[in-house]
Amino acid sequence: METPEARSRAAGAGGAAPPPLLGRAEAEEFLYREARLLDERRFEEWLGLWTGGGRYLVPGGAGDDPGEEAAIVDDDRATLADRIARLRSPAAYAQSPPSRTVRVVSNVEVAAPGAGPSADVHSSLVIFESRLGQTRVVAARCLHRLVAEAVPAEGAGPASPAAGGGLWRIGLKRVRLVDWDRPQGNLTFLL
Amino acid sequence: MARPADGDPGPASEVLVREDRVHRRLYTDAGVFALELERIFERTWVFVGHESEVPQPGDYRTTAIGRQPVILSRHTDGSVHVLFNRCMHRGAVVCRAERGNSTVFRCMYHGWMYDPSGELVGVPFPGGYGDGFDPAEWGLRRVPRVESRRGFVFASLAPEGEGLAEHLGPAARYLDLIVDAAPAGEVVVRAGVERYAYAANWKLQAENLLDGYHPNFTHQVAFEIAERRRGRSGRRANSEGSGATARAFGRGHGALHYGAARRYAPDPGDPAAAAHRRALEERLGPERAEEVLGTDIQLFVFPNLFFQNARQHFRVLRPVAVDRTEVEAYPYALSGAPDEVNRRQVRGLAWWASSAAFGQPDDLEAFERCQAGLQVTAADWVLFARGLHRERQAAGEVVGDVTDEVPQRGMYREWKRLMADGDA
Repeated sequence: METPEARSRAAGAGGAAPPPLLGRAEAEEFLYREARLLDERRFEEWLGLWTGGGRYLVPGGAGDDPGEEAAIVDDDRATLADRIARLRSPAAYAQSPPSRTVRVVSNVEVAAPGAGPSADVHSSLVIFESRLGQTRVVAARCLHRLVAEAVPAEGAGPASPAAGGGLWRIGLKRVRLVDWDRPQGNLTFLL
Repeated sequence: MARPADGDPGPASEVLVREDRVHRRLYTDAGVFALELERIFERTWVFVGHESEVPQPGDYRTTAIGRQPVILSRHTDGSVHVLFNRCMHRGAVVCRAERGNSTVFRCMYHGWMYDPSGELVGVPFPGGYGDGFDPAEWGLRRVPRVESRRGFVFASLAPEGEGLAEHLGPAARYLDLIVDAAPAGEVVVRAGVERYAYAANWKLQAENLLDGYHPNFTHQVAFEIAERRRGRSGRRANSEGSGATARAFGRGHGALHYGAARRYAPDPGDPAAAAHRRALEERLGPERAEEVLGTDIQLFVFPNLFFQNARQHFRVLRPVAVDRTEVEAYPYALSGAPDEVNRRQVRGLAWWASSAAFGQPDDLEAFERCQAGLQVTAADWVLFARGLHRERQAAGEVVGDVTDEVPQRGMYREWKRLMADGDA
């Protein structure tokens, strides 16, 4: 994994001033905020963290291609919006009553995917989920591919120098469950 | 029916199952569950796996028949075997991995080795067993009867009984219809699996797969979302009088046949769908191609296999405990169809059938609510009377309205027959 420090050194070697990079602290703030929005069921605000072309993937196998290997979640932005509409409906019985969640985000590392104003953030995710008197633990490794976007409107979040004065948005979120090869219980809350 | 194993002097099967209802103990009694494993899963034909899951010599996958671990393997000569996964020396499973390739199963405990047909091919320090030891007697035990249809491998632990074709009856014709959608005439199982589990009895899922009464209610939200996305709605096929039918075939098998109420009709401008149709017309002729592509069917092969051709997958039920069930949903590829057709179907399965999907999890919620409600002792019966007065016989099938409980009644007739077989 290429670290931000290495990337800075590499960019600096060319003589030009290196662009500011997404550091770990800022990446953590982003992930913590995302986690809080989900735990507080502020789904519409959470959806605002995504790019228009965003993809949300929970693989069902060892690979990453949901056309080759059945996935647990394989959502584009429009399907994510549908998912939130579903979570808001009292007739979505698998979430009625809804799950309560507390999620712990840890082991955050920032890696560069290569070209372009984007950054890959790796993390570990542990969710305690409580519903109907039972509490479960869901554990996963996460990849967030963050993409810098221009500030679209007021109040959309803190602008970041590392995002070129714009905002970081989620272009891809991949959640790889530790037990992806086991039969899953109800995962209709958002991971 | 023998008394339940927990020593409770339970009622006999003819008391537990009537024509239009079944007793709640079918879902809640651990003794009944133990007897189901013995008399249903470890006796009748059950689905084990698909031949395309073990395409190469040495390929294997492990699974279970009832409680008993088995290996589906392909031998070096190309033959397919179903072996009990139990070392003949001291009893350890000889294969732990879910799938893989090996020309030898070597027990980790004392190193006994078996080939993919089960033959014992190696015993460390064999002199210790003396001259009378004949390795030919100590191969892995084979499941007594194994037969396949269109690559779907079934096995029966009963040494004798009716053959698979006789057992499947009309269900075989529908299985053929499903597989015939592949221009090359076969399906390939290679696109992973959706695995889910729920805390309720296995029969709640079995009943539900051919329940055309519940979708408008359980899945109302999913339908509304799908209709909004498609920009159209209308009369749903799972409505009384839609013309769709619920059917029972005998031996517990059945189907929902949507007929003209819901037909597969891809966008005429879709090049992948058009190429699929052309390839199929070439092989089957236009009439059969239209029948195969247009027919929307859900097929249940009692006790553990279900197909939904419109979503191009099959599911396998695995009873774990009286109140726990695991289900695997396998997408299948239509061999010879454009990649795009197959890839779309794999991706579509996440939307409906995964543990995070828009559809199926609401069914699981219903099963768990049933399991909780069925603890009530003030009401004994679960009712399957719907449409009993209007079902009809047609060509060896019992046929009713799509919302009628025809397949469930058929399933419990077979349940009763199998469970009573063995009573003194």
